[in-house]
Amino acid sequence: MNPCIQCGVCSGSCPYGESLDFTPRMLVLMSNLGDLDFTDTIWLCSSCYLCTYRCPSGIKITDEILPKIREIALERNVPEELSRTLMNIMRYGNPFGLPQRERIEWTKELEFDVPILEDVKKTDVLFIPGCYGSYHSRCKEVTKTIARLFKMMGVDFAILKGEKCIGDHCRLLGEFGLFENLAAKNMKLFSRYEFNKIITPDAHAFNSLKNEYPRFGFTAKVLHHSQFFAEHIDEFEFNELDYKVTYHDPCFLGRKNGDYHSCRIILNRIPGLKFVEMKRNKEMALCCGAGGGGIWLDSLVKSRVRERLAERRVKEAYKLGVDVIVTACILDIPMFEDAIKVLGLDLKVMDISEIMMEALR
Amino acid sequence: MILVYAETFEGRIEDITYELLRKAREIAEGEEVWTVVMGKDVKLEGLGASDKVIYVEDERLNNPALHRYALKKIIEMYKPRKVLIGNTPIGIDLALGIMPTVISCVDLNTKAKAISYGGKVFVEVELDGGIYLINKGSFEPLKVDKDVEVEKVSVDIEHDVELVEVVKPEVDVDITKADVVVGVGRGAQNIVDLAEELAEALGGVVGASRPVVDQGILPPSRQVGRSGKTIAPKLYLALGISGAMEHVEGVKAKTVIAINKDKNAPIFRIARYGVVGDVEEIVPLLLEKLEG
Amino acid sequence: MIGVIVRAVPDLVEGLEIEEEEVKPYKYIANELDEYAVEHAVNLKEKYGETVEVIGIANEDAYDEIDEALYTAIAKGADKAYKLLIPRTTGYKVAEALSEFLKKYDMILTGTLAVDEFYGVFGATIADLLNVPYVGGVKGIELEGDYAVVKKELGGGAYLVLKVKKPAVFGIVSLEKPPKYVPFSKLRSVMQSAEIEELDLDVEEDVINVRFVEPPKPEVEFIEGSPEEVAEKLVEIIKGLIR
Repeated sequence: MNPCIQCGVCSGSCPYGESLDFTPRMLVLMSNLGDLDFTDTIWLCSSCYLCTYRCPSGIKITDEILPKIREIALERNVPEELSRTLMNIMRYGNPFGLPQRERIEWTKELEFDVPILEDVKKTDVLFIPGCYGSYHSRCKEVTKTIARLFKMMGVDFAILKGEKCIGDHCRLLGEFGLFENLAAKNMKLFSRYEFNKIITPDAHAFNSLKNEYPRFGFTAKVLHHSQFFAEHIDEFEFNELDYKVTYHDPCFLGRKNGDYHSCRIILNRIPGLKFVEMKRNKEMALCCGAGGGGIWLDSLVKSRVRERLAERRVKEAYKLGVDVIVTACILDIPMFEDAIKVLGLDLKVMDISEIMMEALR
Repeated sequence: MILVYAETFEGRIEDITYELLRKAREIAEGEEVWTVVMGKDVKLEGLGASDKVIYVEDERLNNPALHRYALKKIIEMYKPRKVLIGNTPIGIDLALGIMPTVISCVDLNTKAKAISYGGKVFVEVELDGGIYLINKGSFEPLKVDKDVEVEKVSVDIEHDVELVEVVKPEVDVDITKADVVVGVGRGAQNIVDLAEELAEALGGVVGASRPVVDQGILPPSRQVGRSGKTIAPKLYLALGISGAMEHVEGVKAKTVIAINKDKNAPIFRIARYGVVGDVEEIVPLLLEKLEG
Repeated sequence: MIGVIVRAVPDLVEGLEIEEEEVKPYKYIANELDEYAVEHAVNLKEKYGETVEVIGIANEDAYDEIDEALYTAIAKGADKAYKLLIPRTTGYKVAEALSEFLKKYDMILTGTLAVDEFYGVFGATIADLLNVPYVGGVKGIELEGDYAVVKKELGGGAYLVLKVKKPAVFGIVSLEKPPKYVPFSKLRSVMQSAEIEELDLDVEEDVINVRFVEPPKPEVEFIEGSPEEVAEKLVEIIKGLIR
């Protein structure tokens, strides 16, 4: 039994609180009593981590309580959009149901060759774009930009053509079996080659590689791409950029892994940039809604909540009068760009690597 | 003799029958073409291209599920060289174990040309005789209003299959009458509302592929394809539709424009214009520019 | 007792190598409509207490890959699984080899068509060999004593309701409700505990005179550019077409 005092801070923090049939506080109580009841609103949690962050008793709601309930829900009541996605991940190693060999197609759109670790066997940096970074048409642009930045910096890097979904969402969805299977496959692949560190633009992949894979024996260093660029910030000579920008702290880079500084260091270095903080920033940042499977549950979310999180967030940015929302987790981009389209706002979304590239032109 | 199976529904002969008759006449090698019709009170019209009509006049055969047993008896009695049947929900049940059957034919001469593997492969099959399940729209209909010799036949049907009910859906929109159809496939199922807007802006209606209807996202009356409706609009805008043959069979549009993420999607084979891209990105922009 | 036949077919997502004499898939997968048939069978078990057995059919390249579909069927509730290795042959020969074994079932379900099925309809062939009724295009099954009451799709939402005396064979084409989800851990535990019995049946080889041809490259005109540019060009084209 965990030391829950039923204070309700978790429920009060939950961005979807008013749409849940059973709030986080109730779910923790149920878990303790072993008396579970849940509805399909169990699938609304986007793993934003705010409840866990603020819990005075340190209860692992996001990583343990909710996923364990979802594990049971998987056998009883799974929205079809989610079950189809999980089956795709099981069969094809990616949520899109696209063939494995297309994972590295993005490299063909670059002006230079990207080394494939299965061929070169050894590298300094293993670059893991993740599923969205590899297959999604918009996210691929971020992956290509990062590759170009690496090339400019003279980074010795390679990618894996056999890379499978890192699995953080599967874990958060209660599909522990699938997560372990993906981790085992990825680790078997990693073990065949030599590399010093992994860099990824996907904050969820970053989280699993850093915090979950070690329990399977994974020991390599893992960096989020913003951390790597922040570390090497002195290597860049940025031109002036006349933008008014704000920065969205990704849940699994910021709250979950304590990095609020890397992107701010980078943005601070770009001359001419007018930086404005969002009202809810750093540890209070509002989730984009993609986590915990949220990116695959849009129909359910749309039917249950008053307003999608991504729409709330872009409105918040828009009110600041900024030109650009800078993001760092690759999943933020499709979420925010979709919301911007739906709301018809005049706002641009750029990944930290993209605004860096623009300041280097 | 080449035998053509006349598909009937509620006493009327379906159009596909006349397409089969055209082909039967073409491939007949100095032999007769007969048409077999099953049921009671069927209007025997337009069968003039046949030399003879075998009419299995039997009330029980108003139940199409019994046709396969009657057909087996007819084949055993008259021993046709080849049998032509429409590849439809009714026709597909007429594949018989007693005669090799080629499914999903798009052409038939000395060889049968079938389309398989999700539309990705053409198969040329060389067979003596055989049953051929032929896709709708493969040939021009040959409907001839001429009197033909009718031979009435009765056959024993030993299987117990009873037609309890024929259920027809409540029709909301008749997509077969529209000038413009916007097709929603799996790849576009999240933007049905945008597709409706687009259809409206173009003065048309929204259609759907089978998987989208199966999920209840759009009603069955909107389904385009082999087991749905056949549409012949001026423009078919295929959004996120892979172009599997079951779907494509229902598309007889003048022009097809397809948007799909997969550059190898079979839909591009029937499209005049194609966009390799994300419908969720492009459709909103299309709407912007149409309404602007 | 219900028997469900699940066939290993080419995985179209992974792609095909098309040669004149042979189509070589990169990977195999269970035929989707056969998986729907499994779903119907386990639903009947849930509702009426029927016993369900699954028979997997695969050639030597797919003989391992069919296992996942069979274990998944057991995870969903099937009582027993078999598998049959087949040579390069036709559906007619496979049906012949299986017909005696299939006599124990009073209902046999399979998908109406497999993705690579262009020669014979498997379910129909089995029915004719067993001399039992066959209905394809089935989307719903209920049981009423010695009868099965099935819904047969006609297209456009219309369907027939048929009362069929068992034993019978049905070809499944769709599901009325979404399929069950089998969590990976459940599948894995079934893989460790359940056994698939290999059927020792002689399946004759059969070769038919076929030639495979890749369809001609499309003559479609691809519109390129940024999404904005593409949308603009499309609007121009569309306006010209619907005038």
